[in-house]
Amino acid sequence: MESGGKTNSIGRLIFTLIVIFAIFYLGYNQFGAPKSSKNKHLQVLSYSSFSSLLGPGAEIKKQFEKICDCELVIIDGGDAGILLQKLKYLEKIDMVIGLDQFQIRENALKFAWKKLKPEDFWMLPENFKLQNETFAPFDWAPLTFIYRDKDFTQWHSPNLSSVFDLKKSKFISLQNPRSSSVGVYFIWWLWSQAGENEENYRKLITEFMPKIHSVSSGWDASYGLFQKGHAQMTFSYVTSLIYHWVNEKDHQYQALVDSAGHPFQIEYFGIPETCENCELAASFAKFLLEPPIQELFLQKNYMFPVLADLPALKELKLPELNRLKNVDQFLKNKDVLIEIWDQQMAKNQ
Amino acid sequence: MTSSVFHSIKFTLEQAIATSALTCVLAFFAALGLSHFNLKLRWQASFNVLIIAPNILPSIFIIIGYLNAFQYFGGFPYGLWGVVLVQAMVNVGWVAINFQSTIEQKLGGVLDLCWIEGASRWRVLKEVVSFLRADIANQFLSVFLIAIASFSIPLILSGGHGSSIEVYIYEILRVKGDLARAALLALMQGLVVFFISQIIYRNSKIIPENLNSRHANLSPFGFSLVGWALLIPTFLLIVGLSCIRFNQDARTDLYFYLGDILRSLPFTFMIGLLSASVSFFILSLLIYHLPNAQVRRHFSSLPVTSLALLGFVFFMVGGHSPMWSMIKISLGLSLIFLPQLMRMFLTSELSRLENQYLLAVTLGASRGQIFKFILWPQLSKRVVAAAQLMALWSIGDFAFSSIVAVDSFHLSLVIRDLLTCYRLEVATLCCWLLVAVGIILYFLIGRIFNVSYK
Repeated sequence: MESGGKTNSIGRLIFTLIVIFAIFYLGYNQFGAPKSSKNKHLQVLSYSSFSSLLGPGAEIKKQFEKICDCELVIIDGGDAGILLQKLKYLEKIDMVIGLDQFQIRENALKFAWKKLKPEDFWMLPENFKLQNETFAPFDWAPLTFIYRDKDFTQWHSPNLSSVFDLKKSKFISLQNPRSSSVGVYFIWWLWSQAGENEENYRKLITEFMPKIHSVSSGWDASYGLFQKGHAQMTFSYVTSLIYHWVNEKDHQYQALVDSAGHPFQIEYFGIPETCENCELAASFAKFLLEPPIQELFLQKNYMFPVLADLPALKELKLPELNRLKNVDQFLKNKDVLIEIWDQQMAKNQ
Repeated sequence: MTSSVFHSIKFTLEQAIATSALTCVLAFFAALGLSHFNLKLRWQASFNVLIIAPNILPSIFIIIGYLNAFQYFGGFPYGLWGVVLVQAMVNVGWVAINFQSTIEQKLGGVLDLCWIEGASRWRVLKEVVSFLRADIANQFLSVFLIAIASFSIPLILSGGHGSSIEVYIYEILRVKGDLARAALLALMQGLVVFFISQIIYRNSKIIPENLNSRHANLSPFGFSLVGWALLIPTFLLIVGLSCIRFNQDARTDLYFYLGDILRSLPFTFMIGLLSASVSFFILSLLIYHLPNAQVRRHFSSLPVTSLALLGFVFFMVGGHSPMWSMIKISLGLSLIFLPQLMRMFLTSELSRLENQYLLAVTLGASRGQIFKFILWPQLSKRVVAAAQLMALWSIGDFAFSSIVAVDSFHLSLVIRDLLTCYRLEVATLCCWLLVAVGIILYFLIGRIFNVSYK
């Protein structure tokens, strides 16, 4: 318990607190509060790794403000999974960046969105088209197991069967599918590996369970455990390699390639019907697909840009992975599959 | 209701019961040691902040810190016992401090008498336990409720078996945005906790007051070493987090992020101070209004509200500027943890003072007089301790803040951003900064909140 010592009066405490708060408030208004001389504000809602200083948001803001005579305000919506729920309660949002194909199919259409003009998005390649004429893709990445060479010296070109065949236990860090969208992608992968058959899927989980080191509530925690060497493998984006290869110059990180295919996360943006600066939002949408900005997604978001012929992309030589096509079937069964996952985990407790 | 929900309730209850039992046993012996130290008051405060320091850190750093540290002992025991061990290490500090203060305040005369009469050490120990039944029940319940609401530690360290109800609530809010269903699940969890609390309180007697408030003499117990053992959890965490390399890339990233980190410090400080203020004043009000045993018991049985659910509610109301978010986070976290602080620091103390309160009422004292002259002088230190712990909890939070805020304006949110951008090293460095802010707040609150209502 804290020391007795000299006591203050309650009046002095309240006075001290008011003074501290007043100094803070004045200081914030003077130096901390955002000030803008621009008349137009474009408000964009995105997830935290996009909007953070190390993410692409800061550079995109700088570049766009040079040409738009406006202020780009990027609102940090936290986890990508809750962007839509936050959109319900935020006013004057002109664009939402970071919805994935699950959110678009499951929830996004419950909201009203502006139609995008297809002629503005002519540059999109065949495999990344507009969705429902309202959502445009801007980056993507396949998901797979990431590991370090030194931990699996016996492997040459491993696939998912190699993981099942390993005699090792407790070495993979995963994400909980109930709290993390990356966890849902893993369920999709496992279900596809099981031939979309419920019984095989159950068996696969049971076989897989001894290999699980931990299941975290989010991708950041599971990747942190892998980075610190507590888990030797993690389920993540193949583009996580970009961070290790380019930023850390560490090439021992590798991605597992399975010819049967991998789940791809494709990220989209959309303009809500309630936008205030809709014209500006439309021009920002086109801006996001310009080559220099697309490169930023590669360098700072560690995701592949949707424009395929960027020079930076060719230099990387990341493994090429096949795409699972059964997203709609998976989504029909998603809740049941997650429930089965939980049941199997609980059974083997 | 699905079968996996039942499994998760079962696992949640198992780990919560085991965590509370282990924490209470360890803390009880450690408290005997703490009392034996007879440290000077200033050093006691420094010692206390060291042993409750693990409470400041976000869960992922507690986990990584302990996992790193346990590598020196042949690896970490994953599963139920791993969860229990880490949660006990995080909570044992403050529970021991509470036990210490209770033993010193309540058992001074009794222990002296036991020694004079020649009772054996273990006989005395048995009597001490029976005297403190209600306090032990209280602390057990406090840890139990923290363990029930715990999200990340059980999930990660159990190897995936530990989906708590909180995970389901978050899923419902995240995917479906169904506030009503989430509230129903939170209510169900709340009712279970409420009934368990009621049973525990019903079976624990109100402790007789000790009007000779002399400090207990615990020297003959010889438990001083156990008191020092309270430093082990913090020491392990320091060792574990120090293992994390800080290379040239991390230095570059730190330089790049320095502006954001520095900008976040005043907000972090203010969140701690505001949460401490809110909890200080509400607890003062509760002391004023809650001498009634029945009302107090019901209030103390209130569960910790679902963090995800209240986060969404707070997100929906008010503005979204950093200033607004700071106020909402401070207020929200204070409301979430208030029943917990009440249980930890005040419930058994108010029971102890009930006879004094009744005597004062019989003699015609007004409620204001009773508060000013009887209750507050004896409880003020506990309220200050509650405010200190609240400040530490609030600055380390990023689960609630992530839902409420739309800008990474305080240090925990900056740490989250760093984690999502692969920068674990810089994030770890920021954790040390968070600890430093926590220590400054701890001493500042101890100094300025030490008030009399005269």
